[in-house]
Amino acid sequence: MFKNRIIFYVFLVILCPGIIFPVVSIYMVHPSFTTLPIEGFEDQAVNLGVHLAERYFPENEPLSKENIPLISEYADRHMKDFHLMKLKIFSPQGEVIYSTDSKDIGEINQKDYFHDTVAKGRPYTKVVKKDSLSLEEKKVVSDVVETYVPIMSGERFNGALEIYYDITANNRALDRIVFKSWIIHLLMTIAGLVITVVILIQLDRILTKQKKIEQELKVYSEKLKKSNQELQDFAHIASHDLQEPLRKVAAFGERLRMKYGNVLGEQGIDYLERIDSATGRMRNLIQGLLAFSRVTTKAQPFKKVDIGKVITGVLSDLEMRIQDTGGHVEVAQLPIIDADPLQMQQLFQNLIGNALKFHNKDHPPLVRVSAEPSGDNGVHARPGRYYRIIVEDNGIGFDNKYEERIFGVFQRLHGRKEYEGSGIGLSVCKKIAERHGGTISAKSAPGEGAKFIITLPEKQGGGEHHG
Amino acid sequence: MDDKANSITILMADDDEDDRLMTKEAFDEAKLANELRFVEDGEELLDYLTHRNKYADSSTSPRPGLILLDLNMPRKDGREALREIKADPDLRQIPIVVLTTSKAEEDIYRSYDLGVNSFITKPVSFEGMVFVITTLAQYWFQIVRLPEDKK
Repeated sequence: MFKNRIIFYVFLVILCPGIIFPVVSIYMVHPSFTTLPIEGFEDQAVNLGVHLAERYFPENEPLSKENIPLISEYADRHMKDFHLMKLKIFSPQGEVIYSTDSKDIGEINQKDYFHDTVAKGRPYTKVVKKDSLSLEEKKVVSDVVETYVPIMSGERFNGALEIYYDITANNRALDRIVFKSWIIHLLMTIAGLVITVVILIQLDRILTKQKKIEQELKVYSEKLKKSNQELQDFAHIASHDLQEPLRKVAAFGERLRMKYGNVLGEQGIDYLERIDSATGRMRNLIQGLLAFSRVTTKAQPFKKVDIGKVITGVLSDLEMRIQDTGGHVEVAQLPIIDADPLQMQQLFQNLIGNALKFHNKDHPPLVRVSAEPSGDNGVHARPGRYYRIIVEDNGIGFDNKYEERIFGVFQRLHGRKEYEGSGIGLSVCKKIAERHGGTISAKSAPGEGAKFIITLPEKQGGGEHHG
Repeated sequence: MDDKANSITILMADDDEDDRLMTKEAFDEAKLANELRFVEDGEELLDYLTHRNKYADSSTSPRPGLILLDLNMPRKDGREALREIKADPDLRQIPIVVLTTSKAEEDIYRSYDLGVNSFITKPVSFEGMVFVITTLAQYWFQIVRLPEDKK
């Protein structure tokens, strides 16, 4: 019925009280419904016996046929008044000296309960079901409660009354109540079980579907991982192996120029220079590709990194360029986060380097690095604290419609003659941010400077992120 | 450079013909008088050093005073050859300089771990190559004292 084993177990667990509850109620709660009225009948019989004894029986005298002469008159009246079935009077010896059923008169009760219990002053009660034997081992024709009420004077046993109540109607009413409550129980249990089963079947279906989706997702993610890995390996190997022939082209070009430069002529030298410049560009591209693939292949584990210290290091590396451009870099308070220190260095080196490179010719570059805490902005898969680190400049900026494009591999917005570069820097930045479970975005307008916003989590959950 | 220094043979193990040519030219450019010999992989390098197969005649394959070793080679690569040479009590005195295109941290670490004497990344330009060869020759044949060849 259930494909999920857990759902099946839940079903079993729910089934147990569903069965136990009615069983408990039938075997343990319902019987108390019948014992309770019987106790009531016994009390009533004792009260009636005491009343009769006080009123009609001689005091301090053992009962005998002689001292209860008028018994039949009031016995009949009491039978009617108290809805009795039968009333018997016993002498202390157990002889029936009176009974509303005259057939009983003269019988002697020699049972243990009479002499051991009733004769000691304790009432004795038995419920007799229809067609079973009474205390005197006679068949009864209806459900009966028979109670022996001892008549005592002090410690002395003067005789006993036996009072029969017909409880057939009572029992029938009780049985109806018990039957009704039993039916209600049963229906409730069945309804409960049906509802439970319906819910569980739905849950089972949802879980099965979810499981299937999860498995599919796992397969896809494995495939993706594999193809990513292959791509990375490819990029890494390709860039390594591509460098080798390139080195040769450059080196033999150089040999050609050194050994035969004088016979090549001006045009020959120009060709050589073009070869040289092309190989230089190719080398930059390959190194860019290598840098890009290294973000994942040469990744270091995350540890606590003081971004402020990283920026200090970056600024000392860029010192010459800052001096050459007459620029100034302002650094505000920066956070400490879990990150790959080398990649953080690379990230900010690229961004600040760009800010210095693309500066406005009219005024020296001013770069500002600042940070602010940021909530979970919905883009991120994991909850937790984030920092928004902002690198803004007063440089040439760019049209905001290129915002997506600038983070692509080998994407450039300027000609090689204007600004050098391989177009890999920002794509490396993006890859680094994504590996850290963060994002990078840019805001700019032509001539109005650029603002790069990196959102990085404060804590790393351990695993790598594949943006 | 004195005669003794000039008589030292340099053995280069590199599978790349262009690199062998370039090194030879750089040698000539640096005006070094030392004999430069080539082997094409680690297997051949060990054949040479232990006088096996085509190097069985030890008179035609003099013991080198310096080995230039490429890491990535077919059959037996530079790492394996390096490990075997440094494990051989007869050969491990010969200084070995790794000359490779690799810049990888783990290659550098592993090479020194195996007992290499220097690790040099092949320069991109010919000029750089001449500089490296000149510097190597100066260091190993003029500044440093090498063990005498007992044989």
